[in-house]
Amino acid sequence: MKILESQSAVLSNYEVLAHLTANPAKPRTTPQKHTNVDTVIKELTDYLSPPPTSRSRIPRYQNAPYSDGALGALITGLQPYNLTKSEVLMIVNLRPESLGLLDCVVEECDERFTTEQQDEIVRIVGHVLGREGDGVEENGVNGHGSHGEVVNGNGTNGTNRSGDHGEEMEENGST
Amino acid sequence: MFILTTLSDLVQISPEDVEKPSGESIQDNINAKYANKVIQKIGLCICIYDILNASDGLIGHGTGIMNVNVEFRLIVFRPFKGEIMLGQISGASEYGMKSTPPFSHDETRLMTPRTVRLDFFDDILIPPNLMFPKSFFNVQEQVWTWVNDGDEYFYDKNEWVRVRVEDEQWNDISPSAPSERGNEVAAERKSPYSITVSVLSLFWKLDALNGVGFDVTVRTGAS
Repeated sequence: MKILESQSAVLSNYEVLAHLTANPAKPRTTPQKHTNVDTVIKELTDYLSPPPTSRSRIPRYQNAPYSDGALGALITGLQPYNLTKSEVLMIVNLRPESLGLLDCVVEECDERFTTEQQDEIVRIVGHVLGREGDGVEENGVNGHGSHGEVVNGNGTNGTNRSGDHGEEMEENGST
Repeated sequence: MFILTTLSDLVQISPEDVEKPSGESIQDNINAKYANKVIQKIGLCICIYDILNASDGLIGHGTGIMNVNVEFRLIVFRPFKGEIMLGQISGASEYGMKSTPPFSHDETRLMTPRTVRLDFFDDILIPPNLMFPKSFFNVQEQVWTWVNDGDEYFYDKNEWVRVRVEDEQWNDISPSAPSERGNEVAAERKSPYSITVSVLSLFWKLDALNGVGFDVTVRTGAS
């Protein structure tokens, strides 16, 4: 074994899942014993799959199914903010819907961006990657009430308002 | 979280695999060799991503095994420092309870690891000094507890938690020669690759924490 290049590229969770689903374990003609590759692919698919199909009870906030053009659109959309590659990667993986998480993902967020810019980033992320609750059944474990508030820029924690939700749906519909 | 690593290796295709398409048998061989294994300083290999280049197969004398030099790319799990991941708490422990404690009580507590797992990767540790300030180990419940404004929050097992990667440890566990091993007792088996992380937030507390901007203070306190 020779390592030619230790890091040729960085993959987002979504791309890894896309690769795993595009290359499912082939049906074997002869039954084989459980192999390492079957184990790791099964466990990783569980970790990366969107909640309804995932067996690992991952919070349903995570692993939203993205459309194919979403990553490109996100990178274009975030171009003006000069985010680093790793920051964009984490945004793709975590899909921050609130300023709190965005602040963890983006280093020195408060110094680099004004509150309006941060709101704008969160809005772009929600716009391109979709939001929690879009087409997903609500089960109330993790109330998404505050997300709408944050988008509107007042940052307070509030209750879910159906008006906000409708607005988000419209935004997504227009893309 | 994931990277692509380019490797080259000699793949040996045994005669019974010759009937498979060659690309498939090469992939199967590589997956069998690398999947779910750690390469030191590279990370945990998941599976093959693509084959870049493969030489003609040369059949060895006497065995019938086909030898192919292959350049390929692997999907590798290797979170970078500072990356934020979502994991599940798999256990909590107080280190001092199972070893003879040469430390004072407080220091013993500092050595206590708490573990987090991803579905496919278990060796993620949270030492107490990277947890929220004012956290303590609740011996009765065997969980870590965080006190905020007089409220207690429990890090229960199987709770989802956001963590930030702080450090990684590599242990080369390749076997040593018998002469070097001497007569030492079989040491505890270490994990080849483990990650140290700090806590960002409990998943279900996320919204509430965002409301008061607690993530921010916690992060600076932990790093």
